[in-house]
Amino acid sequence: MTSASRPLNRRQMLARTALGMGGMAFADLLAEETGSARPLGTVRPGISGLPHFAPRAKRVICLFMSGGMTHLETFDHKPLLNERVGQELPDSFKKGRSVLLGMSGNQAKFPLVGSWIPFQQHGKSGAWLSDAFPHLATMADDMCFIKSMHSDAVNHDPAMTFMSTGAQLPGRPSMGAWLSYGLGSLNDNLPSFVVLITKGAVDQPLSTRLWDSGFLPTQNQGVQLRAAKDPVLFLSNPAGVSEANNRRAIRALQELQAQSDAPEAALQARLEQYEMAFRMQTSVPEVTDLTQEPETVKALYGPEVSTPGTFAANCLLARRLAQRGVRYIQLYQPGWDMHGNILRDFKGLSSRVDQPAAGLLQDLKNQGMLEDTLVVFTSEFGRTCYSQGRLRGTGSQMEYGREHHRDCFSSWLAGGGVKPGVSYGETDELGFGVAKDPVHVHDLHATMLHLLGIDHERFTFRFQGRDFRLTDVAGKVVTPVLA
Amino acid sequence: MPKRLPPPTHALARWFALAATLVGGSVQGASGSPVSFNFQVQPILAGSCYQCHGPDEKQRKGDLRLDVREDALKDGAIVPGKPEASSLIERLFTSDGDEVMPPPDSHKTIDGPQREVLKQWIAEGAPYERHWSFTPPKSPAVPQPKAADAKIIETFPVTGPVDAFVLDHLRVKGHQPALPASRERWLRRVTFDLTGLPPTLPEMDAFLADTSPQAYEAVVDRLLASQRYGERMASDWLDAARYADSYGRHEDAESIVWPYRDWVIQAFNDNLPYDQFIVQQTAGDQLSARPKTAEVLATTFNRLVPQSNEAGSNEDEFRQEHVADRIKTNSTAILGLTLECARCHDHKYDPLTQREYYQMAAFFNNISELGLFPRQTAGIPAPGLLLMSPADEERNLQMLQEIKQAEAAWDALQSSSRGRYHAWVEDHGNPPPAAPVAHYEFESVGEKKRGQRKIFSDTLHPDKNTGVARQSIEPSEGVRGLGLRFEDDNGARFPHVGVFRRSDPFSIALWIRPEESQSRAVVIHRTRSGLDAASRGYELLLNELHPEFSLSHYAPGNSIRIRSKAAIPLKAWTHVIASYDGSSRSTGLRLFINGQAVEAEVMSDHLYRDIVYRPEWGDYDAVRLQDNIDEEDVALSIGYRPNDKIIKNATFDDFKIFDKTLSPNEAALLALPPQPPKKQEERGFLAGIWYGLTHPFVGRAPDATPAPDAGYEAWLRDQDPQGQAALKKLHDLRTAQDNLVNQAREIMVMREMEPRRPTYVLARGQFDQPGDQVFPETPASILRCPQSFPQPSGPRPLVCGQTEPAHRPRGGQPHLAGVLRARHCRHHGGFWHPGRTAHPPGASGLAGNGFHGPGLGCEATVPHARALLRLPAVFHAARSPGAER
Amino acid sequence: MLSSAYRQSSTPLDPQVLKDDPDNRLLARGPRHRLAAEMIRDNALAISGLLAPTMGGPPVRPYLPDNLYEDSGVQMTYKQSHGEALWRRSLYTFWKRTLPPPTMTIFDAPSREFCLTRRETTSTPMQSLAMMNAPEFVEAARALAERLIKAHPQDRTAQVTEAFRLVTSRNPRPGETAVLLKLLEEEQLHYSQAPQDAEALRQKNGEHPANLDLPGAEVAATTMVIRVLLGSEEALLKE
Repeated sequence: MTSASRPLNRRQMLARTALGMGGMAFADLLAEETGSARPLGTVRPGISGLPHFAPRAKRVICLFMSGGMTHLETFDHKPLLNERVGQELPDSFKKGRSVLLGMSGNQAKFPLVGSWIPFQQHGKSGAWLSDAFPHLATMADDMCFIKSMHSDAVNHDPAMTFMSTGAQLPGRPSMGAWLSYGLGSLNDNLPSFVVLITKGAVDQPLSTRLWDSGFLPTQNQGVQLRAAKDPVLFLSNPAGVSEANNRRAIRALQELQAQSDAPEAALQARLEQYEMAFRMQTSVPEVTDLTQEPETVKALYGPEVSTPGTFAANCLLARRLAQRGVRYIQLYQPGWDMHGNILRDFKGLSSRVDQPAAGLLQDLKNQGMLEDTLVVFTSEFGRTCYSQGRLRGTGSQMEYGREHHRDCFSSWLAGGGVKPGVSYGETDELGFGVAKDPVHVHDLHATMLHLLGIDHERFTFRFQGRDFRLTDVAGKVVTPVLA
Repeated sequence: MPKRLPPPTHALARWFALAATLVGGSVQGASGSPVSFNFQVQPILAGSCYQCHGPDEKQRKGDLRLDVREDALKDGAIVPGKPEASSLIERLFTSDGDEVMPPPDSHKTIDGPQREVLKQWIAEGAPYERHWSFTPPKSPAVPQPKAADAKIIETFPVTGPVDAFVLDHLRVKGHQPALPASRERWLRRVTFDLTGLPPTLPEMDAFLADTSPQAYEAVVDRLLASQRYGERMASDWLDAARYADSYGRHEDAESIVWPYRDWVIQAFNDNLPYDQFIVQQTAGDQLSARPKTAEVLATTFNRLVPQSNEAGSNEDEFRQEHVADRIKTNSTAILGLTLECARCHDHKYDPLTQREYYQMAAFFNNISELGLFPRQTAGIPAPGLLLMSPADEERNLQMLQEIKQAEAAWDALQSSSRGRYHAWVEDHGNPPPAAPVAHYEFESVGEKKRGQRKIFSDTLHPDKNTGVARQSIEPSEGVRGLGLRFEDDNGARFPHVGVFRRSDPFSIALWIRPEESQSRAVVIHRTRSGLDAASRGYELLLNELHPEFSLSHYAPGNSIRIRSKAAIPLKAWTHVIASYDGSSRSTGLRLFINGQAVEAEVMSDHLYRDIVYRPEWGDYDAVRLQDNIDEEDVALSIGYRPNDKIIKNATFDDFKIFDKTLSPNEAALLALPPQPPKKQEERGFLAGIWYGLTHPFVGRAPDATPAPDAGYEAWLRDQDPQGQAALKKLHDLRTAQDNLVNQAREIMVMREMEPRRPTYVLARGQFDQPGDQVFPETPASILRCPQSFPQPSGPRPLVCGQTEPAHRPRGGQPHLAGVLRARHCRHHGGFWHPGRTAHPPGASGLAGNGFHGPGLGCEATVPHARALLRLPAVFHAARSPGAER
Repeated sequence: MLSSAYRQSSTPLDPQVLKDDPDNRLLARGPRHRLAAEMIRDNALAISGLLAPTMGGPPVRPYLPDNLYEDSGVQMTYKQSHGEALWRRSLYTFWKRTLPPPTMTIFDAPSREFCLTRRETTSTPMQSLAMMNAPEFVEAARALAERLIKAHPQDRTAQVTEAFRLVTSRNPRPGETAVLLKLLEEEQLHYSQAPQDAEALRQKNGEHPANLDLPGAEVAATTMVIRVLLGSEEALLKE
């Protein structure tokens, strides 16, 4: 017999849906075998033994720039590339380094091209940022740049899966699911793992596998909040049904339950799910209603904040969710797969991301939440220092695209026990490969888990006879970036 | 005809069924009897020791191996009968932090009771046993109810062995069975279990009113006979088969595989015996010389792997993922093991080496699949099976027969018309050679205005068929006058020229002067793209200067392709002709270098669908294809093809397209060094003049004496009424057959490649790091393929329970059936249900520790009711298939 | 199926068994399972009379929340089916791996991206939201309501009794009938005072045409009773 038939000696949590509810906690409905349900409102704990040591961060907000954001027009300043624009990529770079992969592998020539967007140093730390991020630049002293990230995958589907689950193939839990399973939830009205996707920005396709629970119990799966009538699936009442109908429905269920011969605990659990469902009908709209925020706060996030589904609105929503105890908030901003024309496409997108991301950091600081909220800004890989296809035009009117590139890219972290105003790791003079202090995707995961008080080597789940880990068989904590 | 060795996959399926002679081991009584290695010791060793002292050599520490008895005894780790002398025991109980086993940093622990078990086991002589799920079952004795059970039996009548075992087991555990459920509850339970639907009111009323002793049996019979039964049972198997209506990765487009879902439903409703259910899905395409459509359709099971279509993907890397997925699915769903763990290293606890993993992979690595689903056609990733109505299928066979006869007639005509030819020549003189439908001399590259240099007119129809180049052109020398020279990613398109389908004979000819040797450089093609459209159309490539000519519906599985053994020289003008006869066979492709037919290697010889884009296939469907295209996008081109390797720094001249198959003599004539344009027309058989000029570029003299009857083929093809009629009949029949087949639905299936694709052990599972070559073989630990089965030199050996009783010991298929029973019981609340013999197989995790799949390897939590598990396996296997109640 | 072991009640003789053997591996009691995802939807279609028996053929595309595909970053447009295709058995539903049907995954159906031989069973509020608000379940409830009112005009006891039998495969106990009748009465009162809600309920939930000859308030009220029954614990179980 499967577990459902057990009269609820297991914790009841939200189930997986395509837009399922992550580990929304609600009362630990039935203590071990005693049959008495714990009062509603107590929080769902994680597994015993976690965290392994005092965490520096309680929650994570991950800003994921999907499509492979170029590191050369953003955080990795390579003036040499501007000097050698048009020259062929030196042969020394072609051999030995990862074979020239992807579509550009067939190109006849590999002309180098630098960022037409100028770079400047910012803050006391003197961090280099391109002028595409004027607002983020003001927060440079709170940020820790990792310039030496590298990944194993060069195609979007496996690379994004790798970035969120530590493996390129479907079937493994994403980090949000691991944290929901391991650390449990801090709020019983909202999921502990929420996903926000910028509306209408379809570029390289996403998949529910990126926030899946894999072999972990499915209630740890990520829940997407949509900027739609039903932010969560089937939230609102059907046409012609009101609050009054629902109240009577619950009462009738209670009355029926009193007559039933089924184990009391099973009926009690089903009843409480209804209560929880109806409570969500108020808690979810409440959190997604950004009009409650004062104008001064909204102004931080830029003009698009009042348009539901934009990256700006999602950043403010992320802070509100974090405030209410959601453990892991994953934002997706697609559109960075610029193979063809970075000149035309880049500024439009970076301007919609710059202020909201900076606003989020500032808002968290103002609310005193930044020290225990880990913010991660990353992509699934970087882009090549040579142009994909021919170089067209000259100077700032230079038209060029860049191919996928897994050997090096940049991310930044902030808050949550990360050392601010630091730049870690370097790439070579052309921004083609890592020259110093490489940080693999597994290392980033290990570091994030460490900040949440988890030793990535001891946090396992036994499945099919193997003790699986988010960092699989690799990963080491990047101690220099820890505050 | 020598008996063709059945392909290995045939042997694999039969091995799957025979692998069943595995589940066994003696039944363990209650505690107090000797320690069982399988059920008490192995789980401890596997869980806490094998990580460093198990089968995986690379990880082994202290040169100590505990999973094999001889090794464990070798250095005194275990001294049978003397636990105190065994270092294993000593290291378990020591308090010395450096010595204690398992070491603290391994995060593994062996607690007190477990240590006592190991101690007692060694004291009893440390007997090893083969893992219980790898040893053939023995029929367990059915316990008889005891006197004390009399009262219980009133409400719990022992209707068969299952009840007897349950009763006996409960007594040992000190429990009693529950009272019977109400009739309504039973009816609801059994109706959902067998049909997935609730009982209707009439069914409830009828059952409640039926007081006869057969009331319950009548319900089960009704439900088993219902078509709903197949739909209910199929749902479980679709999870195991990872059935979905989309490809699964990147754009995750729709994938047409629902006919396979219907096959699964039908298999259950038709009561297909379980071993056939497995055999057909493993190797249905090789069960006989002419396998039934349904049997081949079953092999879609092995094609349901998630596929990607991301531009820039390495097709071989993704194809290796498909092979790995087939092993994982077959080992999880059919064998209840985790073979996939051995992809990168020896298995950590089950006796399986990485080498054996890749020997198993060799069975699934031999189909000519591309590795990606298409972005720019709605084509089905080959190899595929055409699904037609029986009438169409019949019609198709008839048409193929007619084509064979027409081909024979044409061959006969060729060898019997010399006399008429000579008579004709008497009256008319030599026949003219084939005239091209388009001819480009590229003289316009010399124009002053840069724009004009990019336009190439067809000398035969200056007003239409004009070609245009992508990028600017510099004038350069041709074979005669000027020639078209491309650098880097340049190319030229000739829309509306060379629009040929697979039933059309055609030829393309040109002079080419390559300056670099490239691997697989596109020279001429009429396709939308290479990988992204699976080369739909035809193409002429230069592979390290070896000309390669192919026609594809979906390369490589649905295409014909030949590669010249001879290469063409660098920095010299060479005349190349590619000619095709409309037969869809590789023998119909011919390559000529400098007018001489060249020997070619057959790369692929399976073209069964048209090579053009068709709206009815969805090739222009904007919803299905993100990069939807329209007619103009597909054009005959020289050079450039998106996302592909293109010929670099080469010059072309005298580009001709024919809607005919060229004869060797015409090829030789075309390859003569071209004379200045004006004089060209006077040449040819009519003038009968041959000239011995040694051309500065070509550097050789044509044969002095003209071949006898040089114009015979041209005459038979173009002049002779009988010849023209025969060719027209052949073309019309082939076109009609192609039209019929183009309306059919196609579904991905397995089909073996000839010659076989080699399989290598891959270092750390990396697709591009092949080690030793390996050949198809089944893992020794489970069962070496018996000699009596077809030698697994061919693809996918099959193990056929049904058809080879002699090879299937009476013990039948306990392991396979054991896997099936274990999984099946779980779905019906731990109860064996006879149902029909075709049941959803798969592996169970019998214990509730979140097990997601196979549960019969060493790490599997030991099944509690193992006797019960084996009973049905033995019981089922010994009986003939058919409905049991 | 015919063995005494299978025929046992799911309530063990001695409650201690539930503790000693939570997974019922000793088979000391009958099986008690939540229905699989497909069975839950097929059950609602079957008892409401909407289930289309057609077997096989191309996958069908039943109801889906509006522009769910567009909002989830997948590159495909969803063209919902109409007519009979809306009420086919769930195993014929179009199964997209990167976005499987939500009412299936809410009840633990897999994405089918890899071989899975054992489905989990969880129980969560999302399931309650689906049972109460998803169009296929509301449509099934109102279709059954119409059938019961037509079969037993004016006889409310017969209506609720038959509804109970269809949903649980057993007759209701008097106390249970009383609870349902009380609820029916209250809902009847509610909708008689809010006719526009009654019409919205029966005409804006699913494409099954409402039988306008029947009184709106009565259909709406009966629908509410069936909605409660469909979502009850016993309805989701086979025990």
